[in-house]
Order: sequence, then structure tokens, then C-alpha cells
Amino acid sequence: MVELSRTNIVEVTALKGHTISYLFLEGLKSLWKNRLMAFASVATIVLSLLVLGMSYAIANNFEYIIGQIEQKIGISVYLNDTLSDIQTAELEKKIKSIPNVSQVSYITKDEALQIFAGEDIVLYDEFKDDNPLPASFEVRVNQIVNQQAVVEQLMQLGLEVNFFQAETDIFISLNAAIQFFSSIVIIILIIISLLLITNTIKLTVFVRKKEIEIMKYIGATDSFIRVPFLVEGISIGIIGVIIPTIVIFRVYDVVARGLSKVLIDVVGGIYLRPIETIMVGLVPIYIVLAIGISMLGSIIALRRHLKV
Amino acid sequence: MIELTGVSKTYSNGAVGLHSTSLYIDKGEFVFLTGNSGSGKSTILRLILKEISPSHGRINVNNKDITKISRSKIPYYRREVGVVFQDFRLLQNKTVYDNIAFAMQVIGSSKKEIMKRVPTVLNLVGLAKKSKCYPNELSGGEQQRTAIARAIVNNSPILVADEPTGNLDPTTAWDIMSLLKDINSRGVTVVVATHEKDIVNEMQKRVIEVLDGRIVKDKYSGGYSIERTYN
Repeated sequence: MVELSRTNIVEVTALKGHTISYLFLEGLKSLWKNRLMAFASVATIVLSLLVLGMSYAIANNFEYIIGQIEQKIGISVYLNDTLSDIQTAELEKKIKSIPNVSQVSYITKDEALQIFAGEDIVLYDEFKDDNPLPASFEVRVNQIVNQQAVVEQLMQLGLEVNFFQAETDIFISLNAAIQFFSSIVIIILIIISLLLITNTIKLTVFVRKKEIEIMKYIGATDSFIRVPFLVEGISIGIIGVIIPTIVIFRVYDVVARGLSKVLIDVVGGIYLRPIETIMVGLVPIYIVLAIGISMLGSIIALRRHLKV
Repeated sequence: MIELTGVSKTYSNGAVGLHSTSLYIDKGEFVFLTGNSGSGKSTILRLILKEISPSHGRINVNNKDITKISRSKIPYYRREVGVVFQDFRLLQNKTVYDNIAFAMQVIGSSKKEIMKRVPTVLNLVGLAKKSKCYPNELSGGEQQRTAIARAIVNNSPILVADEPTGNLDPTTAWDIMSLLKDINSRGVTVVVATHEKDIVNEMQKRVIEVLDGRIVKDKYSGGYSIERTYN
């Protein structure tokens, strides 16, 4: 005999432990049941994050490389042979006091010839005693954009200045263009992935509208209904983070190793960002984007369908 | 147990679902709610289920004014009212057992409670042998039995059935009705919306007839065809 009394109706204000584990399992089960849709969501997230990751790695490295080039491109200030040691020292002080000058190094006439001759000892020997090259200061500027101002100050001191005007200009505009372009690409991709994730979860919710309706009639609380969808959404987000993280890690490692060799051969001493730096910057962005958006998407998508 | 006092409902599109109506259903009663589609009987059911709120009036269920309960408390209220639909509304991806267990999981019952209670209810509705079947492997009558089991598994004091036999052949319909009668005999208040005259006439239970948003007849031990105006 069944006793049909009201004694069993307990008001449960909070979800119990066994209910939470049940809901968690339900979320994973439904993820597996809807695996085709889940796969599509994961695929779109992975794709978006991969493009984002690549843009990020490229932009980040360009910035890094330009920074290195900024350090390398210097201004040469040629010195008159008639200058005394004291005058030279005074001039060095003056140059160092110019704003944005990061480093000033003195190159003697002899060092200039050594650099010019390189390994050609015969050439060096030939001019050693009658060195036509002047002594110079190598002036480094903290940032490439400040180079023009430093050059003007040096010219005001009446010095003969040699610098890479054209190259500097190219780097300045290239840097700006890359940063501008990659920001736009990344913003567009963020919007696209946001729309895709929200839409996919809306679709999942729509497919299970009937189920939600039944749950509401049985007396399921909003949180009871939300949790499995959240688990499903966040699981999609987590998988969507893991895959591109591994892919970027692997691909970057291989590409960076290959590129570094080329860079060292072509422009000595230019390095790429280490993989750790890229991942440290990228993974939090991935987590915030994928998991945050999938969670938010689930909540937004569910709110519309919770009213039975 | 269920009391409507001066309840009216006008939908947002201006259609009147129910004119000012008062109604009292006592604890343990078995009541038929009859009327054509669009008569207002669905509006009454939806009001009792707290699916919609009345435009005017008060609805008391289980000594609670349900027009005043907050949105977050609605789920807890719904646990006191079991509901059965014409189209069964079972979860197709769950077995008979899991469909019933689901209603208990929703209210936070433990696995132990579920394992104890579900077989008992399955026995009551005569589905003990079908517990592992999926809804699409069942006949219409068996699906409706599953839905009834789900509606009563949490010991709700009220059972509301909206055209529970609408999709069933006459013999099966009778089986379902006698099951509802059986449940009623155990103390559950049962409200059945239907327009099946034969069943209403045969059962000799209280009949409330709704027409154009008004109760036009309310007769104890009545039949569908007895003409009497309700005031």
C-alpha cells in the first residue's frame, strides 16, 4: 500500500550534495548525448581561439622584435679629430643629458677601423697608421619614436649625425599598423566567438525546451534547471580552451625554433618571445573568453526559456 | 483545499479567459471540469498550476494564497500539485523508472528514498514490469500511467489532469480513469479536465461545466448532460 500524504514535501531551499552531484552528472550526460552539437560548439570555439592565439602570438612577437630593433638601431655622432679628451668627455655628458637617450658609447678611431675592416687584416694594417675614419659616439634611444627629437637636439650641438631615417620611419609605421590591425582582428574574433557560443547554447536549450517545461511542472527550482546547462556549457568551454592551448603550444614551439634560426642568420641577435611568455599571456584570455562566455551564454539562453 | 474567490483573467491580448468566478473544491474530492476548448477550463487549470496569475481575485490552495507567492517559491508550490497532460510529456531519453525518479531528484530526494519509493508507485500504476522501457516502447495508456506515477510519486495532495484520456482509446481511457479514482480514494484531491461525456456521465462525480469563461453548472454526482444553471 502506498501512503499518499504530504509528509514528504520538504521545502529545499538549497541544493543538497547528492543533488549537485546528480546535476553535474546530468550535465556531462547531456553533453555526451548532444555530442554532435557539443562538437560543433567546441569546434567553433577552438577555431576562434586558434586564430586569436595566432594573432596574439604574431602581434606580441612583432612588438617584441620591434623593441629589440629599437635597441639596436643607433645614431652615430662623428667626432672631429681635433677634439681633446676633455672636450670629448664634456660632449658625452651633454649627449647623455638629452631626454630619451638611453645609452652613449664611445668608439675610438681604431675601433671604428676594426669594425670597418672586419676580418680583413690587410685592410686594417694598410690604414692603421693613417686612419681616415673618425671617432664616434653610438647613441641609443629608448624608443624608436623619440629618435627624430634626439637627432634634432644633437644637430643643435653642431654635430655631424648619421642615422637610419628611412628604416626608422618604416619601423614606426609598421609597428603602428600591426598593432592597429591585430587589435581589430582580435576584437572581431571575440565578437564572433561570443555570438557562436551564445547561439549554440541557445540551440541546445531550444532542443531541450520540452524537458525544461516538464521540470518546471514537476517543481524544479531555477538553479536545478540551470546547473546541468551550466555544466554542459562550461565543459564545452573547458574543452574549447584545452585544445587550442595544446595546439598553440606545439605549433609555436616548432615555428619559433625554425624562425629563430632564420632570424639569427639574417639579422643577428633578434629573438622571438619564449613560449612560456606567450602562454602566460594567452591562457588567461582563453579561459576568460571561452568559459566566461559559455557560462554567460547559458544563463542568457536559459533565462528566456525558464518561464513556463 | 482549492478555493477561487472572485477570480477573473484577461489575457494581455484582451481576450477574457475567465469572468469573475468563485469555486471551492474540498480536500479529497474528485472533480470533473468540463467545457469545450476555449471555454475557460484550461484557464482555471493554468491558474491552479500557477502558470498564469489572475487579473483579479484570490486563489487559495492548501490554505495558501497562491496569487501572493513569489516567483522563487513557485517550484515549491508546484510540488504540492501533481499534473498530468493529454500528451503525457515524458522525457523520451529516460526509462519509465528514470522518468518517475526524476520527479524525486528534482525535489532533492536521496538515492535511497528514490529506490524505495519508485517501485512502490510503479506497482500502484501497474507498470512494475515496464520500468526499464523507454516511453516510445510503451502504449499510450502505459505512457499515461507513467505520467500519473510521476505526478503522485512526491505525495502531492492534489492531482490535476488536463484531458488525460484525450489521446487514448475508450478501454484504455477507462483504465486511466479507474486509476485516478483509485488515487483519489487514497486521499488525493483530483481535478480532471475533460470533454468526454461518456466518462463524466458514468463516473457520477462532481461536474463543473465552464462556458465562455463562466461556470454554468456545478453538480455533485452529476453527469455531463444534466442542464442546470449555475449562479
